[in-house]
Amino acid sequence: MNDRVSNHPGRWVLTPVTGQSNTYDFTRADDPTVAGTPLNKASLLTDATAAVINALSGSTPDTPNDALNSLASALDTLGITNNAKIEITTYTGAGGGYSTNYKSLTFSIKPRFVIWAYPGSNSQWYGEGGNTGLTWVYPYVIGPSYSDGGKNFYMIFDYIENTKTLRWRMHAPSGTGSVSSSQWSIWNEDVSGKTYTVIAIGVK
Amino acid sequence: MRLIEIAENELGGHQNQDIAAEIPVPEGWAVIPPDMAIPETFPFVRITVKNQRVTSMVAGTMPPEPEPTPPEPTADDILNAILGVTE
Repeated sequence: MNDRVSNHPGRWVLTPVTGQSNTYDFTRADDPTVAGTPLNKASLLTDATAAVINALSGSTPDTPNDALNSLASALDTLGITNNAKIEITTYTGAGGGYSTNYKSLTFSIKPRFVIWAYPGSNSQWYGEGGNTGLTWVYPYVIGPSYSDGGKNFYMIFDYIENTKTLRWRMHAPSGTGSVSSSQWSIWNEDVSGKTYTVIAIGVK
Repeated sequence: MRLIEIAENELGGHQNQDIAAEIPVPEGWAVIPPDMAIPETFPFVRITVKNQRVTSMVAGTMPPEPEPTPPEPTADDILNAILGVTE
């Protein structure tokens, strides 16, 4: 929008309306150099804009204030008002066998969705593609401790909000049996010397 | 910043993390100064730490390569073993 610019701001001519006492026509006499953007439906809230907002929020705004309110609600519903951040961290696998100790990563943001990505196989997802050389992805939504349930071996995830620390380990309720140390390191996403990249989407 | 867990696992390896952001050093971990040389054996290293900061790091011993896992016997292999068939 543009402001009106004139040589005589606020100057008006009042012309008496014939036959009507104390009634005047106002005519601008400010000698504008820039007309400025008029304040009307076309400049404040067109029907087309109202329809777009309706598509987002489900309601048609009648006023600019309604429109802003609807947009704020829609953004909140989408979670965008949380100011989402992405953080990437890496670590080098240290091997090791079965342990009740957790592996852990600490973030500067509060992660809400985490993805493990690394080239090649040797994934906890044994049997899902084999040695394809592709980038493996292991997604995890932050929440209560997770397991895939019902199996003897499963992954446990644990998140500590106040330190922004994500922990994980493979669990073996029926014992480690004949599982080798190297197999444990695969399941724990901790193969010796292997570089793992972890991408976190979260909030400040 | 690069972090390393002070305690080592049973193989002599240390948990570690590399992250661009500055974060508080977790309890039990230490920060690796950016100008410190990292041995090729990392994270199998021996470290000394003072006030959650690594003051020295030398190469440790890499764990031996795991022996290749023999393939799972097939149903035919099992049947042949039971029947004593060698071919």
